Amino acid sequence: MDPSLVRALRAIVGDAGLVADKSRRIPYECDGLAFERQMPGLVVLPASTEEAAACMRLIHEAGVPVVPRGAGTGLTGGATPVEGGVVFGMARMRRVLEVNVADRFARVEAGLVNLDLSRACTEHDLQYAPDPSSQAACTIGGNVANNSGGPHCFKYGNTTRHVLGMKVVTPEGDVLDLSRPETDPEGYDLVGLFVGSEGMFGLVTEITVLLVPTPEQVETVLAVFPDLDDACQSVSEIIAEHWEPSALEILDNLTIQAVEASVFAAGYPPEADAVLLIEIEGSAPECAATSAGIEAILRRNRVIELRHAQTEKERAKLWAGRKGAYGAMGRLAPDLFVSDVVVPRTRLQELVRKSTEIAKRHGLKITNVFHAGDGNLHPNISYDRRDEDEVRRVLEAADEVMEVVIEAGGTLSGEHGIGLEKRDQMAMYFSEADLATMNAVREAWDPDQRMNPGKMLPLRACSEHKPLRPTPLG
Amino acid sequence: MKGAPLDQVVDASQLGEHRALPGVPVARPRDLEQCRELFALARRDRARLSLLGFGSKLGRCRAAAPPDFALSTRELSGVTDFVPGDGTLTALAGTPMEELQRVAREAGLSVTPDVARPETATLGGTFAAGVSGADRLRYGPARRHLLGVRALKLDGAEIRSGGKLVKNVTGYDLHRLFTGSCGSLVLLTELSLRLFPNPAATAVASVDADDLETALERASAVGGAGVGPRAVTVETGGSGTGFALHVVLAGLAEHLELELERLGQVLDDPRLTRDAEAEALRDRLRDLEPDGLSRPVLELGVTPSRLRPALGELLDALGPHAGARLLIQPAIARVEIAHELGSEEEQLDLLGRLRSAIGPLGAQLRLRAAGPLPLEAAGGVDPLRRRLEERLRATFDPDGLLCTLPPAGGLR
Repeated sequence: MDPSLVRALRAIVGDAGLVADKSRRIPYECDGLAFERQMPGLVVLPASTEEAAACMRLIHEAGVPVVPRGAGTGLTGGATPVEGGVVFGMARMRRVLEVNVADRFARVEAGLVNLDLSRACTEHDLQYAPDPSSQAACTIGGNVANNSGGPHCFKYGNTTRHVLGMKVVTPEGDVLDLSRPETDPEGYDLVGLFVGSEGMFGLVTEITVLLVPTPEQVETVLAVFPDLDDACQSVSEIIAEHWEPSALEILDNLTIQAVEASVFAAGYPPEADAVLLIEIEGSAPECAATSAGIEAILRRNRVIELRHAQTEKERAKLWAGRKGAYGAMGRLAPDLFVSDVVVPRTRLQELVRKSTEIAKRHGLKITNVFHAGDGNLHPNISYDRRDEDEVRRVLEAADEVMEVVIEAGGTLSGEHGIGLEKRDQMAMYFSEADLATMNAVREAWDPDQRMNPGKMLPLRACSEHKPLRPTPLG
Repeated sequence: MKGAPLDQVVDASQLGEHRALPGVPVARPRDLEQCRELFALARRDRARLSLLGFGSKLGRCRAAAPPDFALSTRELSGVTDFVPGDGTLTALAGTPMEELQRVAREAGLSVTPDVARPETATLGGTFAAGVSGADRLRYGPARRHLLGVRALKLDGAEIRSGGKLVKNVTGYDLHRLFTGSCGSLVLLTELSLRLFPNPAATAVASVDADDLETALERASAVGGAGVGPRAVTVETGGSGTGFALHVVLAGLAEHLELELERLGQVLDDPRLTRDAEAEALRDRLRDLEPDGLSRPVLELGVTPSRLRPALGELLDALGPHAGARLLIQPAIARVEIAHELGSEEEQLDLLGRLRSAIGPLGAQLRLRAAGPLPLEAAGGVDPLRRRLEERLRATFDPDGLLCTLPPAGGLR
């Protein structure tokens, strides 16, 4: 990195806002996609939008690529640095700027941890609805970049439904202020377009989000099944019969065993082939009617036990198992490949079974823990990245799962984004014209293509292009 | 139109006019290929064109220049994919919203947005104009429930964004960019929607108020009553005096009874309408939204806590026009005022004065009229935003042939 640029940046953000030493840059080498690592040239940690804009202007003049980063919990390599580039970390911008109770919105800095936002609203009986499993660590800015989801997005929708406005530092270092909570966009819906753009349009520094009332009553039910197929079929029938719980989460047997052997033990029966975690929100009559309707479906699908959380503590315990499932899988193998695909909710059973068969055929250990209500599957493969052959089989199996999903009318990602992991598979889902149009829209925001280069869009938009896969360490 | 006649592409039965675009030929292509040929014609002759469905939302857009011809999607109609078990529906852009509602209702589902006069609104036109319906309070802006689109670019390339599933973050959300773009970027050809369960029961609670302040106070009380209405509407009486507040409730029957009980605690002796009668009243209230075709409409948007001061400023600034016909949705802080506002020049002058009055409150004000409005109707805009919007427009339409623009924002 050019020493004069480093000095100029240091003059803006101070010593606390710059990570230049090699040893201190190591934690920024990758995000949750540990396959792919790259040492960043420099890490900048601005403390305000103004500092971020001033830094961005200098970096723009120097023609250096930029990678925005929240907490680094993303799973697709969206925050993987670029060689010789600057990582913009948002760790010093984590304030809640405003909670507007009357109009039900909050303005926050991009580095605010997701869970801290809901905590800040609890006293007003309001909440921020999107709740990724990593919500204790992930940031609102990162959620915006990936249009993140979570268990309760079945009822409330992904991040994009909850973003009302934002401030963006453009690649040239200007501040585009879209932060006013608009009833309808002024002109083009730039905010809607920005959400999910994976840091390729600009650096979001401030976000205005919608808050929703905390539910009047919540019922949490654990349904235990001797057969995963029956759990899946139950969900398809709940959707088809138009019941509206707020969450429908399935964990399969291997996941249950991992959870129960971990600190996240939730009391799931280890012998069950699957559990379905159901949450119902609303008024007392709404909860009662919905609960009765859903229970009838579960019984006809051979549920063997229904466990209703009687206290907030019991409810929290049931959810701790679900939210801690990924951590618990560390017991199965040193590494975990977390897949993220969406399938039609009418075909859950078939596609869960097919993805399991694929992994087994490749001699891999697969676990399923997923947002069943949205059709958002997470076939997770446990492996050891030191074993080159196993890594090869993991990637082959992941590609096969993707092909089966797309063939069935599914899609590449429901909440994790594309990043590096699925970049080359975009050509399986989109045409060359689609991808060329996305690239042109990106150029409208970032003519030099310096913002998070190499992510999401295939380097060559061609369906014959052989997918490139991340080079495993080993 | 200048250059080659449209009948090189479509036959005489596919040509007509639209009342909002007098003297402008309107071509109604029957398939994508004819759309491509019309686009090729426009590119070859550098002819300006407007994209529309039935044209009922044209008054929500602005005109960069008078079009040489218009392309209507009304012949591109029909449901192409309906999966009740997945709660999704895909249809061609020219399909009337009324038809979509009927198809969904037969499977126990409903379409959002519940737009006014759905028989006069196409699916593509509704989303191109960025319209949300009378169910906005319950479901939020309609753009949040658009799952994906297929669209035709001016260069003839067909593209898609999003998909047909209820959850999808694959690629940029170009469909969000196209929603509300008034056909200034692409021709929407097919759209996929998330559907919602049709409510099992509907009821409307109504009360009268002698003055606007009382009506808004009562509406505010409804907001604190612990109910989740589908719509809250304040309308002026037919004679222009007096106001009526209507609270539309919908959901499970048992839940509805609880909500009515709670409403009874904040509203004195409301008139209750139930079942089919309530649905008819719900639809009447929905259709009160003025289309701007017979007389101009001012549309105020503001955050709920600033509704009363913003409306007060607006009515004061309107002065002699303060007796205008009002339609207020207090819970989402939107007001529509239908009134004769004079000539186009006088309208723009008034618009400027009204914006100065309410600007400090962070309110938005738009004008809706019989046809595309002049560019000046947009008001001021951040130059940075303008530059970005112009770049985005040039990405899709480098020659500026698509001449109907969004109602506000940076485009000129």
